[in-house]
Amino acid sequence: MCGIFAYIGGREATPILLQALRRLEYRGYDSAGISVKNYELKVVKTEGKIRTLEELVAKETVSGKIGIAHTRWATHGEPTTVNAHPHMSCDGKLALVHNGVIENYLELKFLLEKKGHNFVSNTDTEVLVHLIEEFENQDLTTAVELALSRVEGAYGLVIMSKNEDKIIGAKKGSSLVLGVGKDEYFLASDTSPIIEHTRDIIHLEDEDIVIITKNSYKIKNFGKEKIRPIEKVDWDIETLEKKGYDYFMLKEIYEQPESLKSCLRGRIEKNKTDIHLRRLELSEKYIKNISRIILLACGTSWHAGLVGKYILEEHLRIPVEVDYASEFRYRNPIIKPTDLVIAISQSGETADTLAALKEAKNRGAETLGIVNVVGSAIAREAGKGIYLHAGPEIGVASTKAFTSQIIALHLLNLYFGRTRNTISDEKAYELIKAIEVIPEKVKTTLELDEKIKEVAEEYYQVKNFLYLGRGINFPVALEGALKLKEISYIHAEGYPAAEMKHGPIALIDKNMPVVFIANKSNGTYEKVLSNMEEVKARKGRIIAIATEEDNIINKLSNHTIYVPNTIEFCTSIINTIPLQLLAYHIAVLNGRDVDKPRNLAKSVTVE
Amino acid sequence: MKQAVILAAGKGIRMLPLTKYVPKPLVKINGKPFLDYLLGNLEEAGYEMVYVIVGHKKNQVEEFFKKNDFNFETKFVHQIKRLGTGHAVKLLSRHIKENFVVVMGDNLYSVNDLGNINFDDNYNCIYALRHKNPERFGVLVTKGNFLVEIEEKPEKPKSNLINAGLYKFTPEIFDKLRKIKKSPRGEYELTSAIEMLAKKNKVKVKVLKDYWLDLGKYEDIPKIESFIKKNF
Repeated sequence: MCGIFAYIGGREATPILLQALRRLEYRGYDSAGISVKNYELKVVKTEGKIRTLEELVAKETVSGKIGIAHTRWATHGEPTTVNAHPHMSCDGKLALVHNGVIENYLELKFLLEKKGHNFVSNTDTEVLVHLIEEFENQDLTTAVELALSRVEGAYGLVIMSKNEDKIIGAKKGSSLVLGVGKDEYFLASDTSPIIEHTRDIIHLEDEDIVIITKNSYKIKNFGKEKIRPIEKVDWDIETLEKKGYDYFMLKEIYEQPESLKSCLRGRIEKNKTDIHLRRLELSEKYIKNISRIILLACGTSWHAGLVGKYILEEHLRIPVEVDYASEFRYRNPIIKPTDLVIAISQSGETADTLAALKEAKNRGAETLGIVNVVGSAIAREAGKGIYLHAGPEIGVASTKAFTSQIIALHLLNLYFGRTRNTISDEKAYELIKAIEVIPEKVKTTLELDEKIKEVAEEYYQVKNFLYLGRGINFPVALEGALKLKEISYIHAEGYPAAEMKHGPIALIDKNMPVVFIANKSNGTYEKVLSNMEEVKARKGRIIAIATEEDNIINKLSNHTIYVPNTIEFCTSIINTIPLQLLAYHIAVLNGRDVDKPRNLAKSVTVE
Repeated sequence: MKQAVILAAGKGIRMLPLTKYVPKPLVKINGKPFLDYLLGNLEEAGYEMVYVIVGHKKNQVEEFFKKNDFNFETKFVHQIKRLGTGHAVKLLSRHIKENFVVVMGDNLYSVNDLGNINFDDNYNCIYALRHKNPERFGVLVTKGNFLVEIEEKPEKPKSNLINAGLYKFTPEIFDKLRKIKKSPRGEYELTSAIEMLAKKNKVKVKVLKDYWLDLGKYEDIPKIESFIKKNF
């Protein structure tokens, strides 16, 4: 998910481009670059945040009235200066920025290299500019049309040329918007960087190519000229970046069907019994010899680790230990060469987790990372692992990273299980079939939002909450409690349901509501029912998460939230969704700043 | 001795985000920091002492002087609180006992104009340019060769002479600088002190013979770059 922007008009481009990149930063921010045309094309790009790019530009003074810009969220190729956009053609006459994925880039790269093109980066984008260069003897528009006819994949792109005072945009699959100003024009991945300049917007359609000069624009689709309607945008910038959601956190909760799909994409073999994990880089021999797995994490990622323990132990029969990274590093931990240590982190910069990982490496463990941010410190330290591909997570309380981490652990489980022969063909097929429909089931579960809001309205003024779950849903209870704590500041605790009678039951009264996770597919369903009876007897109010069509539960609970059915090992993802929404609505009803809770930082880089 | 005071402490808000990282006088013009051109011209015009008032990003300004050798003495004065051009020049009151020139660090004047400034008389002098749209600037109202008052961006300008930001003062300016009050925009303005002197017929107006380049906003960069390319 990158951000692109282009400007052509009567004003100096550089300040406009830099400001636009700030607006687009929420889409992706591990590297950025601009290209500005004066007498030649001046490209300034760098890894790091927009700030780093601004500093570079300040030292070089790039002037010109035509420019393109890009902020990158890496998918193919690490975030480095060389991989950053804009990318240039061999002769330096073309510069291009791109958002999307070119699926046949490897074969195109091979063909272009044979023709003598010089590639400098590991990105899929670079093939686009060289492919257009191939047709350089045509006019730029025709060259772009010819090149794109050979491309498979999604793109929103803008190209500029040293020889012409125009910019050309093309759209297919990724969004691209045209802003119409007074003798100036803008192209961008979304309207947020455009509306401070003009509110007249054209949403380009798939296969549109737009050719823009300082005074005019023309839209062509498959060679035919098209007139597209100009719409007036009246949203403000903040609203646009959140795409209409009140908070980034809510947007990210709703993004989960997409983010889960992204985590699975390209990783399930066509035979539906095997998993393909490109960056895992562990030999078959090594995998067969693993004697213990240690999962290191903090906060919500630690909860994902706990879920992972249930999944991995059940299917691999390898002992799995889940440790708070902050505790692990100071404990003089026992590490054997056959131990596999896996660090789980959204940002990849969490100080405690990074330090614990280094500690494990120093003691001779093999390491993996399960991380969202490409090229982050933990990813580099581990050297190999699984990227979540969930897109940037901006809300401080983690939501989509958590569910993607669980999916990643499922993939790891299958990969190891098939290699160690502890997961049979039938079992693998059953697991994969269930996992593949999780995104769809999450989407269905999100439809419970209204109902969950009603539940929140009844409980938002309480001072304490208890969350109970068993087995693989015990960590879900912990996570549910943490979400409520983080964003609403209401005290909440998670416990294994059976543990309640060993202490916490003393707290139960009419002022202490209890959330029970009680899916029918859970092997301990009957025990959970008796736990609920115990709470009811003490006048506690119960909110139950139950499987569809369970009629017994709602005789015991005050409120029941019915979620889609799935195999036990996939219930943790489905059950998390209503708890994220419950925490969200209770926080909003209490007037909290959901995206920036007090005292919390998104990535804890202090120890 | 020819001596000049360069005001280089400002934040350069109109050139954000660049001025978050470099002070405006160091913004590159044709590959060289803009200040380099001013200092080169001061050197060629025979100035022997330059006071530089620094503030925003002062380390970079001081670094720049260290790396480049100019044929004059340099002294830095740190304006800790940005209280205006009047406040800045007043900081030199203990250092300067003779006539001196004041120039903005993001402006440029020719060697001739800088060299022709008369240090030997007892008059203050404000330098001007004739402009076809004077209403956008500070307009100088004169009686003969003398300044009567300065009008800031007047709707109906009384002359086409605009304030080019280059001044020559006698030490009596310091006395007036100690007496001025804050302007409507909350700063101590150099022009307030000049107007006090003007009331006593102590300020002459002279017209620049060559040019005045002002690096105000980003749009000025290409204009200045092409001017310098043509004329240097």
